[in-house]
Amino acid sequence: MNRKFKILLFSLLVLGQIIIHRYIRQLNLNLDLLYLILVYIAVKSGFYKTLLSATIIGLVTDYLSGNIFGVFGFSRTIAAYFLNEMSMRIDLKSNLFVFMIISLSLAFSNLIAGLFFYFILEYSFQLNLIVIQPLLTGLVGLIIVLSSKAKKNLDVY
Amino acid sequence: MNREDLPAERKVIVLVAVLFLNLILVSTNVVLKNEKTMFQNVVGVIVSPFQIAFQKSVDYVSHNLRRYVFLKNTFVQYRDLKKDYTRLKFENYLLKRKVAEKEFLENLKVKRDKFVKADLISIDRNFPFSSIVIDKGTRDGIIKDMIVLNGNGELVGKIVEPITLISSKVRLITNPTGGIGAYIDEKIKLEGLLTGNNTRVCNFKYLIENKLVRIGDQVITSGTDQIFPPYIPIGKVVKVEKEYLTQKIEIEPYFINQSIKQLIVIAND
Repeated sequence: MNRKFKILLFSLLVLGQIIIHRYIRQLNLNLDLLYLILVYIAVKSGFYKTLLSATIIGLVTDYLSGNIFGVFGFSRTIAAYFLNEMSMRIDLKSNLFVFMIISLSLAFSNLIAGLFFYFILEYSFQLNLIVIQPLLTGLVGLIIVLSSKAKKNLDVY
Repeated sequence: MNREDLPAERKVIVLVAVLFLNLILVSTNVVLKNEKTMFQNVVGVIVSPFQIAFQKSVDYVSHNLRRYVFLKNTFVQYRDLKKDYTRLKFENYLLKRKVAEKEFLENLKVKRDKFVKADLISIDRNFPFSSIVIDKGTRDGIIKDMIVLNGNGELVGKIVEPITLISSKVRLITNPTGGIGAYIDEKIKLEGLLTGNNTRVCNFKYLIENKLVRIGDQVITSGTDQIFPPYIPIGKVVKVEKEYLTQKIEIEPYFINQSIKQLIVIAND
């Protein structure tokens, strides 16, 4: 049951990300749903699995973003490493904490990516990337764990 | 929770190695100016089928809803008219070029059979004026530097790497990389370099101050950059700022306020 729920949830998150990238003009919504999958893997899995997942999810994010390949691979790996290290000390029962770790870690990861875009492509820092996307993504993560059933199936309790 | 109990030093070494690999990927992209790399194409080949499958599913459902539930016959007529409209717009663009520069066109090899229709499947959500991905790739004859127009024959961008079998990336004209040789006003032909800055408008550079430019003037490609064919509509002037010896002109591309769901890819020989 747990496994099926996780597969369904992760599939919906991937589908949601494809939808956002396709209809960004109409939705005007900037979310990184793939990052929620990465947060889950980072807090629940071992070190090697976390790094591998972070690199893969980062490279997929790079492809979907259409910018320099490897930037999000780099930044997501760093964020996932710190999440993995902190996971033993994080109280995942607290919803506020879940929201904070998703938002802050994503903001940190996007800040690193933003530095690459700034120094290499000379793009200016986007508020969307560093503030709005982490907050909205954190909110979506919070909504998911608000359900006690979701929390139970994700072993986050 | 199943966790390995690894020493801290090993974790740091593995982390640094993985980050170094990512940095190598980044640096190859930068040095090779985003030329084809194996990793990009591998990820593209894995991810783009899902995007295309999703897009085709949505198109199928909405097409059938419109066809069978709403306005059955009207939809058929509308669809046929839309096809004719796209074809006529493109023919009109070719004819305008013929009238304007007959000799140049005789040397041009842009033909209708090199005209590929494509659908948008993804936009960069962080920089939506930077690039998009379309559902046509090498299988459909797409190669780098092909020009992309919207359904009205107006300039959208050009094909850049990565190009997979079934998808390719389009760098929009609002992207700050590169530039376009362009004329303001087809009759006067005030020439300059049009560059993007990741916003809704592009800037016109190297335009001398004493030439009169009005808001609403049309901007078209000049063809002098040897990349974009001439006389393709780009946008219109929305702001003029006089400086000491030059003018700062802002151009809003036509495609910004229109749907870019359906695009046309043409070769530029």
